[in-house]
Amino acid sequence: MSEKIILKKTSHGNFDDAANAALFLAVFIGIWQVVFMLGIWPKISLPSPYMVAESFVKIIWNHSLPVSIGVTLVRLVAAFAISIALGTLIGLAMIKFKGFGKTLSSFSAGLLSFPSIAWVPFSILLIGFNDFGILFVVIMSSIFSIMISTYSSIRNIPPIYLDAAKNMGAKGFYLFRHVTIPAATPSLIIGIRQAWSFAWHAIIGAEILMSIVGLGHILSVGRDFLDMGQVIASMITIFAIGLLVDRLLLFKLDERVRKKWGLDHHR
Amino acid sequence: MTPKIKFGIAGVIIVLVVVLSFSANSGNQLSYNVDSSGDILRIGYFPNINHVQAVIGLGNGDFQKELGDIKVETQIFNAGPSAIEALFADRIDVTYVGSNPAINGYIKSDGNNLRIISGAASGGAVFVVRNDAGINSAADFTGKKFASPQIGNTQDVALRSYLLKNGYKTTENGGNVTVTPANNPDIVTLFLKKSIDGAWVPEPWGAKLVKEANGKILVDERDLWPNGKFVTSQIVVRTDYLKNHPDVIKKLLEAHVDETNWINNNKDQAFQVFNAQLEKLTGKKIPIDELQDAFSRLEITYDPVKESLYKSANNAFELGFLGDKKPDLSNIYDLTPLNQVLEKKNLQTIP
Amino acid sequence: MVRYERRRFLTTKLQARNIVKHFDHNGNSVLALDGINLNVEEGDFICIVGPSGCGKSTFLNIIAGLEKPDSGEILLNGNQVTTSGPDRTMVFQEGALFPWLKVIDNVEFGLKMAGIPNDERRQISERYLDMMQLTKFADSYTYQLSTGMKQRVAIARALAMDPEILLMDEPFAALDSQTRDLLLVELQLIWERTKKTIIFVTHNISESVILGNRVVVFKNRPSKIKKEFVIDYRRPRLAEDENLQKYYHQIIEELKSEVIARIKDENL
Repeated sequence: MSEKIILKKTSHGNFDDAANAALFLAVFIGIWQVVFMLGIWPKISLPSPYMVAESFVKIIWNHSLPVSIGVTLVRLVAAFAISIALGTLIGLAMIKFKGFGKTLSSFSAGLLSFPSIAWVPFSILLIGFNDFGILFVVIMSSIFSIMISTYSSIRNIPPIYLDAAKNMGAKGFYLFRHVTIPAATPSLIIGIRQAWSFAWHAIIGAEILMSIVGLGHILSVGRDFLDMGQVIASMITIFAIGLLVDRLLLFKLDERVRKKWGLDHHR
Repeated sequence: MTPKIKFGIAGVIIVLVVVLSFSANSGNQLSYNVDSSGDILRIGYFPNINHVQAVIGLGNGDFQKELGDIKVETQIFNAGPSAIEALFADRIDVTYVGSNPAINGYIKSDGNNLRIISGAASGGAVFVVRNDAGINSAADFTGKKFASPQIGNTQDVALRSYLLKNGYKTTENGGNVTVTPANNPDIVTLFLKKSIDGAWVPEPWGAKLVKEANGKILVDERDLWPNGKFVTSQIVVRTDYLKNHPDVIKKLLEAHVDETNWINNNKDQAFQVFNAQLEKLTGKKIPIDELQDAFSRLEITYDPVKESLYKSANNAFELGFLGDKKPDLSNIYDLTPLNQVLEKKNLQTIP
Repeated sequence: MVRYERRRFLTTKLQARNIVKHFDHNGNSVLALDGINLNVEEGDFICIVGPSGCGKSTFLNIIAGLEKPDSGEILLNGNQVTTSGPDRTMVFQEGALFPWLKVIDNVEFGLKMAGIPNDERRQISERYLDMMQLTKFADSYTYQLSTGMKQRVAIARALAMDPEILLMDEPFAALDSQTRDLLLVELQLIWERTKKTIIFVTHNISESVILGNRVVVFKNRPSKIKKEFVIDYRRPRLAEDENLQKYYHQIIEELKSEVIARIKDENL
């Protein structure tokens, strides 16, 4: 019964949230329009909301925006998948080889805060000025997050879960697959979300610096042509996609796991 | 406030914004005025050989001497678009810059916000190919990969126009020649890694590619222009500054003309001075043989070579870089102050 | 209802022979168990009590195979056991249910791992859930249960494996007294019904006399078994039962002397 009540509140809550967001955005655009009309910045530096909308229409109409979104996302997904695969393996190696794990873990502050753009020159020289170069930058920017999150998630599993499982006869791979991984999952998901945001930063930065096509490239071209409308339209697109993916995919995943575990359950 | 009211308010605001956008000159600002003081002149320039007058003159104080009581402040840029941005945002008043950023800025401001008041350099761009890329003439371009420093910039336009003229289409247009943007240092790396077959670059990168990256010059861009002249860099001023302080601008142009003449009459010394100033700005010198090679294809002049700018703009328009409307550049030049200065010095004026 | 202890064949289910265990405390090796010897007969309900820190939980872990002794053996039905397994399942003090599984999947975990087919698994787990009066909660997730209910699930899970011996490590310590009193009765009924051999560690003396037919008292560290009490009293025993008092007091006396001895030790 209580579940029904909660559901009702949530859908009403959604409507409320949407109204708040709509109002916030409308006020933001209104202030923007006023600032524009007051001429605080020249038109060429700060275009009006309408000019940005025009730019949007232009880059959608000439297909460069949809194509760029596609290219950027494909690169991102490919790089992210490799990051997750390799990062998890290295994270597991960190657990297996304790010295290795401790050492890498002690470097984590430096590794995690390393700016993604700083990888670009190295990538150009080592890999090349092409898609693989971009993938390299994105992978290096996100892999440490996955590695370290895998390592600490597994290390932080309450030992009692493992004891209980062993007590029932679990060992080796069965124990790993059916106890270690599910127990580490909530924490792993947090690591994945962090890695995703790093990867997103990295790909736009890399594309601005070395690309023929892609979202970062559209932004950079806009700038080269002094087309601030295009620059802002790209920025909005970048923001929207980053938000959408997180909300639609990762947030839902996180929510599902948290719900099952009752992590947000307050009596 | 209930959600419905919030949505309502949001809707009203958006409608207002849309209405305002369509009225009052279709999105123009109510006012944008800059009132800059005539006591200061803020000059932008790049630390490269196309802006040699500025590098030398601003570095050793020649310009400040000429401007006397007017304080000279300088700002360094590495790319044309940022210089124009700064110009329009009132962070600088005048700048040395290439032709495409100037054209873009003029068009974007509906012809209002900038004027070209002088040339600074002509020539100095080459199409270099790798010695081992198997390219001996324009017949060998099929399937090749070329680079230019930036999409839509002067060299990019030159490269693409050259390809079109010789019957090639780029990959974006269904052809088999790839053109990729890469900044100049990266182009050297790409040559060394054999990732590209050639590039259309400004000096001194042409000299560098030949000497350090096993390149050879396939086309000297001067050969493509009448009299071998085409504008590479010029001086651009913000219109309101020119209107309010023409005397300051004239002083600047005097310094510029004097510097230009000194450089042309004292080439060897000029190279040394330039390199010294460059090292102060960037920490690096250009090897003297590369410098000499580069300068051999560059002409330091105050002639803006107007016709080459118009042609270049046309080329850019044909390539789709300047939008749907054919650009109207009728008022982009204001050579009055320059010609006044030249007359005073008994030099030939620019028509 | 009065029931009397049934006579049964005295078969030794489990033997602990001379169990010695050290552990590391801040770099020093401390002797925890100094040769524990214990015989557990089939169908026994043994309660282990002792002052805190005396190693009774460690001893239970060794029996379960979760820790290894420095010397000594554990023999189950005459055979030495060293690893952990479902023949000696354990009910932990708290938090050992898997929050990512439903209640019924928790109970079935060991059965699934053993390869028991779906229908049979379902049957077994439903039977034990029913025994613990949790049938309605089969599809709930563990966060939705109270602590008492979670412990019931833990007991169901442990029993579902049909272990040779059931080990319980202070399972009711975290419960409120009402829930605990209820579970004390339930556990006795389950013991009667399943005839399982149970070893139950607790620091709560009244629990031990209510549940156990034998109460083993550990002494301070380094521990040995100090004394054993046989509680020959009818079932089901209730907390309020006055006749249990005499056992209670005897055991308390034993423990008191241990606690005093330790205080003396620490003050030296």
